[in-house]
Amino acid sequence: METHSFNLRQNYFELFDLAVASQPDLSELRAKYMVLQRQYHPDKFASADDQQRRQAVQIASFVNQAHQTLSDPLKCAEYCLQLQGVSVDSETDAKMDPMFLMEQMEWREALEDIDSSDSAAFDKLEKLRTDIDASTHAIAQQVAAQLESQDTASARDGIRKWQFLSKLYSEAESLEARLDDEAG
Amino acid sequence: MALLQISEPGQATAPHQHRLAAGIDLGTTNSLVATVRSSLPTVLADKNGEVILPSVVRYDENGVSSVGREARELAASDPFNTISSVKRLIGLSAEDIAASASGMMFRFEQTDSSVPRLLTSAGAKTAIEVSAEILKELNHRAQQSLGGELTGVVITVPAYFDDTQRQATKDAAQLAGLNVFRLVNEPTAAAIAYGLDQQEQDTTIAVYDLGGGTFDISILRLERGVFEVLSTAGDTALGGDDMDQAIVDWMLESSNLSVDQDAGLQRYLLDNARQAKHVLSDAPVAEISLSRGDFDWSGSLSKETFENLLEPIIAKTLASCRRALRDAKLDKKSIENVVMVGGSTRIPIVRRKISEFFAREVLTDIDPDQVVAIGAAVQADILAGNKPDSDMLLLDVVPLSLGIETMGGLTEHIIPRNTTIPVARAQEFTTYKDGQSAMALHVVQGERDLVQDCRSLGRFELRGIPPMVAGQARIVVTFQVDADGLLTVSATEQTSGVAAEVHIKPSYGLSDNEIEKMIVDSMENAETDVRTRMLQEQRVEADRTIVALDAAMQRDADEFLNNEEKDTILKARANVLSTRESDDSEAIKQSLHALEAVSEIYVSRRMNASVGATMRGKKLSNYDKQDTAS
Repeated sequence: METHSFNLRQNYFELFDLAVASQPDLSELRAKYMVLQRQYHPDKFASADDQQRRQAVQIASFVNQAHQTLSDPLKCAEYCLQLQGVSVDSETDAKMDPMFLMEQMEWREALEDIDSSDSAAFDKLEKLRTDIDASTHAIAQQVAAQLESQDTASARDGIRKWQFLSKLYSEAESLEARLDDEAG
Repeated sequence: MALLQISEPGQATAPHQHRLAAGIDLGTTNSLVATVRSSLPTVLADKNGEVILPSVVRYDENGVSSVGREARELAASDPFNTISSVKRLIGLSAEDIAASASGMMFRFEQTDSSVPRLLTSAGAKTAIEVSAEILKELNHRAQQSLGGELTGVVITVPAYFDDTQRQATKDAAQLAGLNVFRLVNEPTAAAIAYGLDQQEQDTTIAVYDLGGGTFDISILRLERGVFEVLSTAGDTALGGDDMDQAIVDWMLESSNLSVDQDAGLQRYLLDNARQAKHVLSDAPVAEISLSRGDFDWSGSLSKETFENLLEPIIAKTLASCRRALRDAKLDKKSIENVVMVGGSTRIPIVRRKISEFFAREVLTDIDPDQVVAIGAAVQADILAGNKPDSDMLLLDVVPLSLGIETMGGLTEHIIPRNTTIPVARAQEFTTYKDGQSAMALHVVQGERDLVQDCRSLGRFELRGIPPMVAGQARIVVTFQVDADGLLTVSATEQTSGVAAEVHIKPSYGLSDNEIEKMIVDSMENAETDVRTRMLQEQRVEADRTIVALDAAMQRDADEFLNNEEKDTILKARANVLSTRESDDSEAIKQSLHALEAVSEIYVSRRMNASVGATMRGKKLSNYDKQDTAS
């Protein structure tokens, strides 16, 4: 397989030959990822010259990064927004729905209150995660529609909320891991 | 077999010529070499028919006097010239060893060098040199048996080996004159050996590897011939050696005798313990009879007592199994194959407990001592280009998170553990002072929040940043991890193109113990970590808020606030400043909340008037701590 003609500047959807969508077909993505890995993984160039080996590392890194971005729903939405010329991180506007913030605060407090001495800790965590999940799912659907209609301002606000939820969720997860370890 | 094989460019240059290649399992206790001959992977034996080469090197005045079994047999009589378990030292600094190698029978040269050297009659030797001797012996064996030079080898390493240990292993191979196609993780090699890649259906595999000195559990996914490591966990100072030690401790307790500082006696007891352990794999009781100098004792070790001694060791491995499953986001029910690797998995209770844990039969058909070398041989054959039709591909992961030190001694993870390699990740940083012309980057590896608790891999400096206002420079730092898991870090200032690069090729690395410690610590100390982190974050938060508030108030406090309101805000501000000095993150948080509450009216008036954006985002800052999502 040739390495020199590979285009490292194409976007991730072009790379996998997929239509731009914030919720791509994951099994198709996976299948195409495997095809590219088979072509460009450095192991395929173990006996090739230095230059080809270096290029293969670059290409495989690019393919891995692209796969990781598109297969993670939040990262994929951020990426789609970026393709529409808007960065999520731009600090031009910081208004956030007060209701949403209130809910965040409550969840955060609920999370902080859970510790290993609490016999219902796992149940509470489970409930919290279910709630966050439901909220995330709703926002993800909205964001998908907003991206579809190129309503970048709304999509960006939605993605910001999603980021909060995602962070909260991973904190809930690491708390669960900790409680799990403590429980042996 | 196809009559005509078309090879792709970049692969076999001479498709019809079989290239000699071998897989090497460079183990803590034992090492092996294997190759694929007539499509069959075979472990290569020495002239006495022995396939296992004990990883022991003996030196005398003239240099290396023996490697392997003979060296091991002489270990008790000449402990300091006989180096065993050198894998526990590879990639370690003298500092690491001082901290972690207690109980190991090594004598080190006292120097200022960061590379520790073992004292032998043949002079001071580094762990890399000792490992190279073992590799040379295996290379010699392979050449004898295959009748030619090897074009390349695959060497296996524990999944938990960090950057410096992998690099040191590669250096040893280079020293031994070997061309390394690839370093492959031991558990992955084991899965290849079982030919799980030949399966029609996609499958999820757990590889349980309990060797002489290390324990690894890896969860792999196999999908249409592509192996993907989903997660790895381990306890790298755990294995058969610890079982032997547990038996020795039992002997000492039962006999009321002690070994004092007698290294030779210690070795003698360990040898006897190992024999008893082997006996107990088949027999219900092992008779032990010890006689050496003043040490005279005999007794019998029942299988039941033995299994009780092993209980804590097995429990530790199960904790790692749970962790690996969690990292892979899998339930243990979804594991379809459990591969057993390492001599210690011959012990019936180990098999039984693991089988119980995963609720399925475990795979034990291939000799657990040979399985890794066999898998490495299969992979070496493919990488040599002997099997251009092979569909098999290994997708490996970063074993420990890689990150960088940020303000307040916190670690910012740039490549989280278990990310598929090769991988390149760029992160943008900026200057925090006007006219700042240089920037230091500290690269670390580990899971902990605080830099001081992670392993420092290297520091480098980016100089010549053109003078700019604070926050204007755009410094992009790129972490590149190649397919061997080796890291290169580079940094460039985007607007000027100033670049700095460091290839992390250090002379030392994490000790096995240290990795284990780091991982255990990151679980046990998660609580303290979180507390310290919260405190630091709250302090940074307090500073940020005060700076934003001051800037805003300086601009337009008089416009939007009456004196009373201003006073209230200033009081709250003073309160934040005083709590900031305490160790109580909760107090800082409360005082910040209070400040936010009293500033609310100010914020909303400013917003309504659509005046500058200085205060915007302030209200959010409490929740949005770090995520500006990469």
